[in-house]
Amino acid sequence: MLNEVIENSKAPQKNSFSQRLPFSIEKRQFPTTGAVIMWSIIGVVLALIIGAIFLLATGRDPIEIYTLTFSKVFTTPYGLASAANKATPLMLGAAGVMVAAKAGLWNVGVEGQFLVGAVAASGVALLNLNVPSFVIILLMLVAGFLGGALVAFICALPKAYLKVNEIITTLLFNYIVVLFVAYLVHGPMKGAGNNVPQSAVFAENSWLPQIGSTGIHLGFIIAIIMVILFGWLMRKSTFGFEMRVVGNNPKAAKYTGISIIRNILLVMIISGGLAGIGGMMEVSGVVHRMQSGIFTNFTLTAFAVAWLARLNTAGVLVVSYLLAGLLVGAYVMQIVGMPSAMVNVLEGLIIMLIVAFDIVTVYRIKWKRGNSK
Amino acid sequence: MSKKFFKGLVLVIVLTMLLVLAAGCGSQETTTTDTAATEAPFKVAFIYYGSIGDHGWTYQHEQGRIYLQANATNVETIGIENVAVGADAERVMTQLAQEGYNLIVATSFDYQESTLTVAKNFPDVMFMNSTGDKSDTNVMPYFGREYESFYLDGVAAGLKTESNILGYIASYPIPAVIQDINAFAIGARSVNPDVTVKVVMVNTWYDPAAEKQAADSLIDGGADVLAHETDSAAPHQAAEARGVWSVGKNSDMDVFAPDAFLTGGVWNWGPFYADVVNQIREGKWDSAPYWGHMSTGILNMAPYGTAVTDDMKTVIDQTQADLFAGNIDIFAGPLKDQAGTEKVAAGSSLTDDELRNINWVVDNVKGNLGN
Amino acid sequence: MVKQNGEIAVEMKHITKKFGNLAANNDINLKIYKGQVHCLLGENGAGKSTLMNVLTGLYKADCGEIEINGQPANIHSPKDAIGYGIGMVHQHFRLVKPLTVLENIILGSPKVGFWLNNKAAREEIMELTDRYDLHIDLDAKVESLSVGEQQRTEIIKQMYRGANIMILDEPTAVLTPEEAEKLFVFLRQTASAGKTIIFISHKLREIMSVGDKVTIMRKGQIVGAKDVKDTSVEDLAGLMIEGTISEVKKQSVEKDGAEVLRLTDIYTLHDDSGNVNLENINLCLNEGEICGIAGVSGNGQRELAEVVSGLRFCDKGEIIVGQKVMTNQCTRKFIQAGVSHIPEDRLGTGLAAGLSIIENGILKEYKSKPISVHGLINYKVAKKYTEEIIEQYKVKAENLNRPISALSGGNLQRMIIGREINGDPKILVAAQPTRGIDIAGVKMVHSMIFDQKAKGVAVLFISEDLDEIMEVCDTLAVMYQGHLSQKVRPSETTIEEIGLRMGGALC
Repeated sequence: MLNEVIENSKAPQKNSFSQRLPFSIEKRQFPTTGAVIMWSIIGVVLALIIGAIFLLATGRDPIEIYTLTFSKVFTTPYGLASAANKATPLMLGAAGVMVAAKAGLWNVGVEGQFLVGAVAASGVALLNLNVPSFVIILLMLVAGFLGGALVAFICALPKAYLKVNEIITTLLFNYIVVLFVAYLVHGPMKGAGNNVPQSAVFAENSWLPQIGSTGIHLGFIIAIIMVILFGWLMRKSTFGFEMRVVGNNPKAAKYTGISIIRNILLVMIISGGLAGIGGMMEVSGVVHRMQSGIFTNFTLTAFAVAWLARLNTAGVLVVSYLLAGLLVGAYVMQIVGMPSAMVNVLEGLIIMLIVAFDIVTVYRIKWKRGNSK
Repeated sequence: MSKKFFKGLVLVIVLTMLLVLAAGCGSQETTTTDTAATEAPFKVAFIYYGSIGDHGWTYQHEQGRIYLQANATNVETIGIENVAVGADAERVMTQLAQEGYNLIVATSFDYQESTLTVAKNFPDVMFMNSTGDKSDTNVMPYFGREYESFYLDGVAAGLKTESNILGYIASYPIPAVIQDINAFAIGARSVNPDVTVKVVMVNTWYDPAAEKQAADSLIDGGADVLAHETDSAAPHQAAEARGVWSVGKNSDMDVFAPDAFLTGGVWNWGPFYADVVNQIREGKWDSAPYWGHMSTGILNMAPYGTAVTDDMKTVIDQTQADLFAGNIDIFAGPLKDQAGTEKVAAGSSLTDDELRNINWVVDNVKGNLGN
Repeated sequence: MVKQNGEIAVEMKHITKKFGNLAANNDINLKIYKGQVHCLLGENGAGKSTLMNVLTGLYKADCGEIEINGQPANIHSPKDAIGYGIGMVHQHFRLVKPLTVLENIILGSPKVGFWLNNKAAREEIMELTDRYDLHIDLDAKVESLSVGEQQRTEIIKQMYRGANIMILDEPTAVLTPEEAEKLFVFLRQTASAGKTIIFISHKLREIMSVGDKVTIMRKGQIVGAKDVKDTSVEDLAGLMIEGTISEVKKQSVEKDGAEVLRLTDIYTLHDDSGNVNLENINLCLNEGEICGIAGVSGNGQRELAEVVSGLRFCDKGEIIVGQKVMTNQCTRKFIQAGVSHIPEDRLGTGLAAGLSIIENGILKEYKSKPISVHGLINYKVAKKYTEEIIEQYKVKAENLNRPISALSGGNLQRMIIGREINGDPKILVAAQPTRGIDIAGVKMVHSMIFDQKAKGVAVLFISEDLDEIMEVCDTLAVMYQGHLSQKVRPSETTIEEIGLRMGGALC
């Protein structure tokens, strides 16, 4: 495995066509951050150009639509605040994916962990405890973490002890969780009075407070701190080190005396816990009640963030905010006159092209100086 | 080197955000004032839960929007599709309000809480929420008495059925749906005392695959006329394929099932929307819940399908005329629930309030509501 | 100089290949004749492997031309090279580990069409292995094979593909003397049958015994080309390395130190396929003793090393480290008790390729002060710790924050050995520590092990190179099919006797 890595990183294979070009393409051993960012931007621009062609073809003005969308999302206080609120659970979910990925695990169950975190936090909120607001919110945070962690832990057990692929356990568990949550909001958690599959609205003392009059809830700041904290712990702490060794080379971990089972369980607890806190923040900060469908496509979006960010903590923060902006912007695009289907295409194109250009980030173009052959 | 670059990028983004946040704290008041300029167009936005291509609920509202755009003077309309409930809906409504829209029409019950929340922040903007039940000074819940069309559907089905078993594909056990199930069962019983209605709850508004499965299971259970509360055409297609009949809702579903389709309610929102816009312009806005009878034209029956015989037509037409004239009280007692308990005594009837909170079904309905 | 005899099979002209600023090959000119065994001699990093990778289409030379059988050849991919009848057995095997030997051999072979015809292929391969005495279980999964068996698979694979020009990169590094001897016979046979063999090695005696011609490389350039019969070991060694090697003298055993390791009646469980079961292993090691474990690869040496370093549980028996009974304790306890382990599969087991050089440097010490305090790693201290290893054991590394996969093979080896020795062990398990490294490297490893011995460390020295064991070890024992012979001093035995034990002829 390692040998292949070494050999592959040394030189690309070329065909005879490339010999006739005035430049050669060399493979770097590692992509530079500059190249990654540059190619990501090129990917976005290319997606926008393709989108513009479609818009022109249907008689719309792409420049106007793009500039309006951008200015409404990224230059108005409301747009920025919306993106921040949307980014909050996303960055936590992506951090969950990232932490697991660093330990070599694919936690595709962040959606289920997110939902159970939301349910657990809602359970606390609906108790209507007569204690100060910050106590309730703290309890909800703990409940959210434990809820998500529990789901991930259950999925991790077969992986740790029986070597069952965690993609299968987490993915399948998602279905169970979605139905379980549907049962709860249709049954035990359903709000009194109307006969609708959602819980009652939480008492206001269990709402995450707004930061000033920005429209951003406090969860945004807490989420940033948590992502940075766990990113930092993964890098700097001995337990993070152990997890990364397990993820990178389980044989080396065993050789070093690191318990693989313990680390798989621990990292999944953290991963699921982060996603669970994301669920808590969505219900406590935004929805203020429990209902199904509070964040559609959560797993996919969290994975997109984690991967576009190259599993880098700072990257997760930046990309989750930008991607949240894109999700928020999707509706804005409709408001400024872009058809809904076109918005979906454009979203898909942007993500796909950024990922596609990932391949080229490790190459460097080198001009030949007239000495070929 | 590269790490520094990344850290720098993060710093720039964080700083920009802080700046904008600071600006946001200072200048909250300036945004929503200049909307009432004399000759500015009246701007109406519609928010759709589904896609306008669903040929159902959303499609009919989009038809209403198109009617409004074509028939009202100096209006500007827009429709936003596929808006998820909760945070997304709230955000889209807020953005529309900030864009200077005068009237925002949220076309799903699930938007109710979001609508009320956003409406509080924008007292100058009018909101409408279809199928909702809570009003505010600037929030008007509106709906048509869809159960009346289901009563007529029930009459058609009761006349057509040979097995005396009718199938009903229901979405969620909410009052708006339960009203329709009851009206359907009562209507069928009015022409065919032996008829029973089997209900399957699919817990979705739109899922053609699930709807088809439910339809097939009902047909397997002996049902030979299907009614549905969901939004796709799948039940009709299933009925067509299995050689039984169907009654519809929302749109004219005849194209999907030319042999099976009998009739069904078809929403006609356009004139109603145009009326509301006129009332607002004339300063006659009344946010009290609107619950229009079929006789107002908000809901029409689709043209009869080929399977409807002339005898049936006579009965249904007569029933409709009686209903419009006020000669029929659908929920008049005596009515019993599934357990046989008398819920409405002879001589009395359900009030609108009781209807809005109804959670029981009449005794010729078979199947669990799942609540 | 070189006699111009026979047809030229391969001619490489003015080959230059640069990686960044480093010229791995600088204006190389090389002629290789048909029917000969042509040796390429040089230290690690001299450019032999790079040159062969150019020939096999894995790398594209920056400039230069290749002619095969007198015709200009366009080799742009390994597939092209196969088309020209060039086959290479790499030092790092290119096998698909979860597949069987048979599947690996026929994988990608031009003889195999869309449909696999395993039966015909099996017969042909059986015929090949019989003829050359390269016996192997065709249905075993490659991941369960020993390194030596994996190499065998590679050789059979190239022969099955009908290679006329066969390149072997350090082939004897993993073989026992008998196996190597068999390989030489096979090479001479195939050469006289008209095939061309390119033999990469840094073992002088091998070259003297198997080669027709030898080309010596140093630092990316050719520094000499000789007919083997006109040269001598000293001659070649002089050309290969600048200056002469200072002979490392082994201190004689002066005293028997205290006992630090005792294995009593060890049996291992049969867990997964491919592992040899250890049976009735008895062994004790004293302070300052280097005990050699000889034997053909795959006879239980890896399992023994794993048992001693706490990686493998025992079914029966007792392990005592120092004064403590350590049977079936966790690996960390063994590490804490002072057992260091240079694993046989250094790259796959001893390192985490994606982690940085620093992180690999502290892999064993990340939990101890001052590298980590209160569960947090102090990367400044960690860097310093790693820099010490790098400096002391002459690892060539530029940026310590880069993944360790950026290092070359020889440097990885030094890195891991350095790390294991740096921890001040009481017992050092060294599994094949000199495999695949050059003479200077071997001498360095030996001197490092002697240093440990001088400090009182007990060394379990596992090697397939009998000469090395006789030279380095104070005592030795032979493994054969999970059994370990009694420990003896080299003076008390003979190469012949050991050879018989390795072959299972003596118990």
